[in-house]
Amino acid sequence: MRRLAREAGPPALFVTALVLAWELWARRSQSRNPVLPAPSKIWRAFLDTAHLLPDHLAATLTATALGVGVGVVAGVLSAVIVSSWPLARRVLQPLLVVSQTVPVQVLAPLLVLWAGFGLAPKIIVVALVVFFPVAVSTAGGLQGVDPELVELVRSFGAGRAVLLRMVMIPAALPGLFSGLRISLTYAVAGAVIGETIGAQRGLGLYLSRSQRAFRYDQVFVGVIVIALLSVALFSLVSVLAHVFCPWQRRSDRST
Amino acid sequence: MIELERLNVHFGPLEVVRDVTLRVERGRFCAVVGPSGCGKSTVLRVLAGLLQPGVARIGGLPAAPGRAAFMAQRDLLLPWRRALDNATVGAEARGLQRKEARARARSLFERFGLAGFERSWPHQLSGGMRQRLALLRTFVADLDVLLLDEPFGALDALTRRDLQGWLDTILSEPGSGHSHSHSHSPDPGTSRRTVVLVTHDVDEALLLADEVLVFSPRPATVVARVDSPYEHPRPGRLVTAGDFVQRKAAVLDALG
Ligand SMILES: Nc1ncnc2c1ncn2[C@@H]1O[C@H](COP(=O)(O)OP(=O)(O)O)[C@@H](O)[C@H]1O
Ligand SMILES: [Mg+2]
Repeated sequence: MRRLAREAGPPALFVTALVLAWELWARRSQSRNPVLPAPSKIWRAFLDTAHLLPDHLAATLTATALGVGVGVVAGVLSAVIVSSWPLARRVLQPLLVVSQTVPVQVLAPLLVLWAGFGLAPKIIVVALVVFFPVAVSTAGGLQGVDPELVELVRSFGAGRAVLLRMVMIPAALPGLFSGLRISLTYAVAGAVIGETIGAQRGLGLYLSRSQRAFRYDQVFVGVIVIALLSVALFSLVSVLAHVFCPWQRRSDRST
Repeated sequence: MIELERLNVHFGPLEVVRDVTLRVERGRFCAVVGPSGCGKSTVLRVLAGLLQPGVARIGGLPAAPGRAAFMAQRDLLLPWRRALDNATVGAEARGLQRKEARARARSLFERFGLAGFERSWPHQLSGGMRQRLALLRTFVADLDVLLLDEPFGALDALTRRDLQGWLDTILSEPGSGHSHSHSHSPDPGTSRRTVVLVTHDVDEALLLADEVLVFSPRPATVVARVDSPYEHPRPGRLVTAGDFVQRKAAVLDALG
């Protein structure tokens, strides 16, 4: 708790000061600058549209969660394939890299064209965003496994299943989690971009509607909710990593 | 019993082992010394059934993974397992009950100087402790045959002397954690384990083993067999005894 106060205190103070300055500045230049609404105005916009937000949030969260799920499964599978067969590595590794050079903003309209305005194109966008970092860092974990370690466990008579459980999975987990952590904020952004292009629900839709209505106060509400969602998911992954990779905890190192 | 009849190993064009014959009777301790890179580890890997499986025979059966407990020069602990769970890796890999293995491991922690560290992560242990834990893992695997590849090679001289004496003692203790739940032992609890130890430390070889094989530079051939017929457990100062020194000279001469 004391550590939390020590670490969170300074940034919290800083943000408070920033918000106050912003409020003062926005009030003085109110008429001339509709693009930067005062925090109080954003707060009112939040209260006004609060009843709409859970629905949009749920849609974005669903697309993100499903996309992350698909991306993680595909990423881990490719990591396993790429780490198991040298030939697969030579064929797939360049393709993996190429798949990442197409920006989401370019891809999203195409996907909407092909897969419609439903959940599917968002899931695909998120999955694509998550896939690469997860595949790369999981493959890194798998390929980093000490071959002597594998041989030792095998010398006691371990079969493939035991090796997988004892060595490969634990070796891959930290990489998997760090890949997830890297890609999560992009995953949320991917879902939102997908929704701004075409959707019936979602924070991206809320954003684009607000923008078209010149309701910049609502745009800010949307951006803040999206940021909070990213932070929440990031924390969730950190908690999962903490639970599933206890040997990596830093606090344990000093005891 | 361990039997290896005229082993030859090539890695591509590289001839690594030539005509090596090795026989270790049940309960006996055989040490292998030789220049570095000559093929000692390769021979041990054949005994472990990792290379050319079936070529060696362990207790009358073709060598295969799971027949002998193998320990490499590096401790090779799993970083994601606490000490106690590392101790059971060999047993679990053999398919033994985890619960039983844990109980046996727990009962040996004190004897291996690791009491109180059951829940530590490997990175929290000192080099000597990690090595003892790796040795404990080979004991908990509950196999009659131990294959030790320079188990103390990475340690400082003092710790090494310490662990040598301690290994000799532990092997001489009746049982030494041997559960003999598997029926192939005629005299449960009293038999010594059969050990092959690879080392480059001549004192270590003569101090621990009943017989020392000296390998030539690559390709490895057996150039000398030197007996070390002293009662176990042996005092550390045995290294200064006159006939011990003579045997040591014989080994060193063979090493060239
Ligand atoms: N899997 C392998 N493939 C090719 N060469 C190997 C392999 N394993 C060992 N060697 C070579 O065989 C020789 C003997 O190795 P090793 O048995 O590890 O020697 P030692 O344990 O006596 O130091 C070395 O020259 C080593 O480079
Ligand atoms: Mg070696």
